[in-house]
Amino acid sequence: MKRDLTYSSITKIYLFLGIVSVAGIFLLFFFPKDSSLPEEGRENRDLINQVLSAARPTINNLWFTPSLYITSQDCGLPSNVGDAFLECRPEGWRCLWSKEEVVEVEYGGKKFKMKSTGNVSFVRRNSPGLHSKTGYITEIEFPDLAIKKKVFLPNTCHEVFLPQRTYAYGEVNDPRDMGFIWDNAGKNIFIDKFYVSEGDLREWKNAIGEEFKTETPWLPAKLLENEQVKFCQFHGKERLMAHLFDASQMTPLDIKVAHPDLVMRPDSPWQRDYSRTFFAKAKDETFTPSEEDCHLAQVYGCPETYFMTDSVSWSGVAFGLGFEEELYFNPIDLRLNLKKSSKFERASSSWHKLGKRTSSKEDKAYAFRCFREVP
Amino acid sequence: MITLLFILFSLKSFSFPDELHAVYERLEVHEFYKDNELITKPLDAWQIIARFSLSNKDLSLGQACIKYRPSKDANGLFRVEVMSMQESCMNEGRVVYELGSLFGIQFERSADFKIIFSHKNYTTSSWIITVPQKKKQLSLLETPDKFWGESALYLNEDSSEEELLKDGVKCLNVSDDCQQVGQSTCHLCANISLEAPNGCLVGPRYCSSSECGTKGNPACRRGVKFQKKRVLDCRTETSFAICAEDSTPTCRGQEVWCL
Repeated sequence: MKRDLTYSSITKIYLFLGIVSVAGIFLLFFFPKDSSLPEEGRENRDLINQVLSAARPTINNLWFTPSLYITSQDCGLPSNVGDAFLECRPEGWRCLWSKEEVVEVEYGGKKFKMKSTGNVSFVRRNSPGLHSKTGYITEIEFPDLAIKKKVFLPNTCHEVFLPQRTYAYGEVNDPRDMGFIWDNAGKNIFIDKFYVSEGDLREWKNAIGEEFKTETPWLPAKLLENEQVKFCQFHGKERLMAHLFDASQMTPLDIKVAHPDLVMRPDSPWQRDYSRTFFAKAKDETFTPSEEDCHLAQVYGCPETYFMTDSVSWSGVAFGLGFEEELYFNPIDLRLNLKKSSKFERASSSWHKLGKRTSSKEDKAYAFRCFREVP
Repeated sequence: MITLLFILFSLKSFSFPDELHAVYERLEVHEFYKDNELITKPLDAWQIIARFSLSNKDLSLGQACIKYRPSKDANGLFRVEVMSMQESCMNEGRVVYELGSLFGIQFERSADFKIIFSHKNYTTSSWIITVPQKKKQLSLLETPDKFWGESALYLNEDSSEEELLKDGVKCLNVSDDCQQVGQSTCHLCANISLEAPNGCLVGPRYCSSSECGTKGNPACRRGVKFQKKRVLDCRTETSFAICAEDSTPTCRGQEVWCL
C-alpha cells in the first residue's frame, strides 16, 4: 500500500533530523576525542606559548646571574664565599626563590607572575639527546595561566673558552729557550673557571649511589687521581691537562696574533716579571701580603676565600697561583703533575711561578678541575 | 540554527600543543614550498612541512612532525605528531594536535617558525614555534666570552631507551685529506671522545673513557700550527702528537696512537 506523506509527517522528519544534528554537534564539541583542546580553567594556549617564550630570557638570567637578585650573604653563606658560587647552582636557585615570591614576566604589555618552589634535581643524560651531559631540572609555574613546566637548567656557566692560539708550556731554564710550544688550532676547549667543589662532589656521589654529605659545598673537593678522572668523565669532561692550564694563565704578548713566532712565558697571570710581583717583595722577612695581594694569589697568611673572581687570568680562569695545591694530567711529563704554589707556601716561596710543577704524592687527594672539548 | 551553531563552535581558539614548548632545534623544512606560499597542493597527499626536535625530561630528544594534507573544498587537514627521533615522519606518530577545514596553510622560515592557517570560513590564525636561541658559531667568537652549551629548556614528559655509543666507536670520521665524512656523533658517546691526531686541523675522534696520550689510546695533539709546517704526516714524523713516556707514538694509518 502506498504511504501518503502528509505535511505533518514531513515536519516531524525535519524536526527529528534537526534534533539529531544538534545532538551530534553537541557530542562533537563537548565530548571531544583525545586532542589538545584547552582544559577547564586554562587560559588560551596560544597566550601560554607566547608567555613561556617570553619567560625564557628571565629564567636564564635568574639561573646564570642570580647576583642580579641576591648575594651570597643573602643566602646565608659565609662572607668569604663569592657570589659566583650561586651561579648555575641549586643553592643559588633555591635561595633566589626563597627571597622572591614571584618574578614578573612581561608580554604584550601585561605582567605575568612566575613562581617556583626552588627545588632542583640533578640529572645526567643516559641516552642520545641534548649536548649537555649533566644539568638540573626544576619546575616553574604561571598560576594565572594554570601552567606548570619542567625546565632544564645547564651547569656549564663556569666553563671558559680557551682561544685557538699557540701557547707555551712549563718553564725553561734559559729565557732565550723557546721550550715546549704547542697550539690548539681547530679545537674548542672549555676550561673550568673554578675548582670542582664539594657541592659538585655530593651530586656525583649521590648520582652513582654513594653517600657524601657536606655542610660546606663551596669548598674545593679533594679526590684521588683515579676518582678525578671518573668525576670529570661523568660530566662528559676530562681532567685538566697541565699545558692547558699554563695556556689559560700565561697572558699572550699580542692578543691579535694567534700564532706568533715568539711565545712568552710570564711569571704570573697579572705580571710578566716576577721581580715586579709581591712575591719578590716577600723576600723581605717583614713582608705581609696585603688584601690585594691575597686576592691575586692566596698564599700562606692570607684569609681563605672561595669563588672570588679577583684572581682570574686573561682567559677568565681563576686561581693561577696560590689557593690550592692542584693536580693535573700531564701527558708531556707525567711526573710534573702538581702545582705546589698554594696557601701552604709563603709568599717568598719559589713555587709561585707559572709553569712550575712537581710530583704529587701517591694516594693523596688534591683539588682539581676539568675541561671539555667540544668536537 | 544548526549552521549558526556550527559556525559559532568553529570560532574556538586554535590551541597550541604543550609539546611544542619543548622545541630544541628545527631539523628540516619542506624544500619545495617557498616562504608564505599558500599550500593547497598536491591534493590528498600528506606533506611533511617541518620537523623539530623536542627536549625530554631525561635529556633525550623526541621529534615533532608538522604535517599538512591539502584537500579540495577547503577540507585541508593539519596535524602535529610526536614520535621518537629514530622514527621517520613518514610514519604515523602520536597525534597531539589536529585541525581541519583548512583552505590552506603558509609558513615562514624565520628565526621563529611561523605557520598561518587559512580557515574555511575565510578567517586566519597563526602559530609561532619558538626555537631556543642557539649560540653563535663557535668559530666566529674568538674570545674567552665564547659560551658553550644549552640555555634553559622546557621539557616534555617523554623519555628514551636508546643506548649511547660505546668506547672505541669512531664518532667523527675524517679522511686522510682532512675532509670530514658525515656528521659528528661524539656527543652520543657514553663518556667522552678523544681525537686521534692525523695532522689535520680537525682529526677523527673515538668514544673513550681513557685519557689521551696514555698507552693504548690516541695521542694528545700537540698542534698543527705551531711548527708552521704545511704537511704533517704520521709516516714521516709524529712531532704534532704527544704520548706519555711509557708509550710510543705509532701510526695507525695516518692517526697517531700511543702503543
